[in-house]
Amino acid sequence: MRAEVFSDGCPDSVEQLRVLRKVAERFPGLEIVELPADGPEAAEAGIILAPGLVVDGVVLSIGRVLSAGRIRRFLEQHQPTGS
Amino acid sequence: MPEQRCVRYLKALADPTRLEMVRLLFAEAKCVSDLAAALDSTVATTSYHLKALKQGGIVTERRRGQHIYYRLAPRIRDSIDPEGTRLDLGCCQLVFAEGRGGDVATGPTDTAKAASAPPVEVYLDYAATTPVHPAVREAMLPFLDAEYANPSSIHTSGRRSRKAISAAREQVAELIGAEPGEVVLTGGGTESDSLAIIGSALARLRDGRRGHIITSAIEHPAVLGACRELEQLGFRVTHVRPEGDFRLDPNAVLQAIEDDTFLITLMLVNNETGTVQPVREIAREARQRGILVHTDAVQAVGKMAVDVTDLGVDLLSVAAHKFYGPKGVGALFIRDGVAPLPLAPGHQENGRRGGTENVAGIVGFGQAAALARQELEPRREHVTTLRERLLGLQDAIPSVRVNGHPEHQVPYIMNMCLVYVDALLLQTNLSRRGICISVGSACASGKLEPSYVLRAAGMSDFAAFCSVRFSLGRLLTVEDMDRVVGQVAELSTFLREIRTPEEIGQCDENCPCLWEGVA
Repeated sequence: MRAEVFSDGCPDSVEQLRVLRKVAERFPGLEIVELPADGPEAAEAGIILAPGLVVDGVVLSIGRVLSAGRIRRFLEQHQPTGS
Repeated sequence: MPEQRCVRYLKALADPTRLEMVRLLFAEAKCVSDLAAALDSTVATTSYHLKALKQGGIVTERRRGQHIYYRLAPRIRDSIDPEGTRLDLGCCQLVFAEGRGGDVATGPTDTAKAASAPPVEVYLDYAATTPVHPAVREAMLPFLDAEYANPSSIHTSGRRSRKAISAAREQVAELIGAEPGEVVLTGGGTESDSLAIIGSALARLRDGRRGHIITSAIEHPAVLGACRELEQLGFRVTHVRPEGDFRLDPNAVLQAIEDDTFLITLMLVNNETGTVQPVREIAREARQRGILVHTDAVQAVGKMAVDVTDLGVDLLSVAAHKFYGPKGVGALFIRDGVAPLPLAPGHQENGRRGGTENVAGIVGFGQAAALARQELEPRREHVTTLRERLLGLQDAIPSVRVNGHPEHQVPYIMNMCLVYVDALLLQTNLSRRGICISVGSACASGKLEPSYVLRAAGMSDFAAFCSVRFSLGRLLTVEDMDRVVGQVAELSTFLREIRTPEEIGQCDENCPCLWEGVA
């Protein structure tokens, strides 16, 4: 799975990245990509405020830090069910 | 195969990826990660498509140990030829093309084409703007090409341009029940509002007077901005708030009148909720007291019958692009005897709006106005059907409320509060799935602000941040509505788990958490 964090370097963006890395410890298959919040990828994803979080094409957060528990719950529900 | 079932299958297969999945599953049952790998896609995306195929009765699932495997439903499997190249649904045939989905071989063209094309964008933002009607485009083309002469020129070519403008002016006047001479063509709704409000104030200022203006707290930024500018010049402005049902109380407006009130400016239909405001009742009283009445009818014209005599207003703003005309052109009705000062002096428009006319735009505006007049009722009926279908959301997901007046409402705009769903996240994810809707919240100074319209009607930040606007139009179909209901329901279910109410916005006594029957 691929998690994209759209960051502008603000404390919330830094925190979102930290939270995500913590979550990734329990989801080794989770690839984390940091992208600029003012770049074309952000515009394409509809991220109008940092931090933004997109996991496997699903926009989970805009302008707020999404908690570890909520990210975990999403990953658990959407992780591969097959081999 | 019964037609209904065939349509269900085609809807489920309306994506090349899903056709490719059917081809892969014909070979053997697969789990989601194997399918994702074979498609070179993500598990989440593949799961999303699998769910649609499952709902459409195309695939079934079966658990094997820790894994869930997907296989074709027997009826679908039996409809594929032994070589796995063609799916015969009875109503049409789909041909698999290895690695890139399928193509339609035979069958009813419109529905079948959808099965081989990428997901079609469903546009539900007609209140923001509308697509130009083909007949409007056709009418405009000559004036972007051979008929380029300046309508102020007195040669033959110029006179043809002048004649086209006159015809368009008549068409616009007919749409709103005005005389052609009372219609000033402008560069759009915002300019019309500015000419009405600032122009009226400047005419007063020229005589050395200022005074008081009444407007509402739910006006379009064009009106609020004009009023704000006038406050800088020493005019006083009262903003009347609507009731909890999003409608203004006429008495509240009339009670705000002061000795030097010279202008009341109120929108006829609110752009966020679609609620029709009591402009007629207010205008009747106000004019008896010698106060000018302006209405921003940008969201009303083309959506409901608008007649300036019936409304009794002195000034009325219109924008072409809200009813299938081009952008950058509009009109201001100015009742005979009313004389706002021009913002751009010049000889055009009888000295009321200078500048060489946008001839092509004006011709398109006229054509759009003529069509709106002819098709007012069928368009309303069509949109009412769509609206009723969209209301199915109330059955599809719990805790949904329509924001707007229950009776005084145009069917074209539906604002809904989906409790506990972050509207911005819903809008963004719908957009990624090809569905365009709107939210009232705005990004200001690095943070999100709730819709000022919803807040003015007393909604909490939380409820406002959970509200979305669907605005409907002529190119939408009932099938589109079903797709929207399905997608909104699916996304709402998981978005409700992503945010706590506190994270979405502040609650107060109007918070939907407290509404009766809301979990």
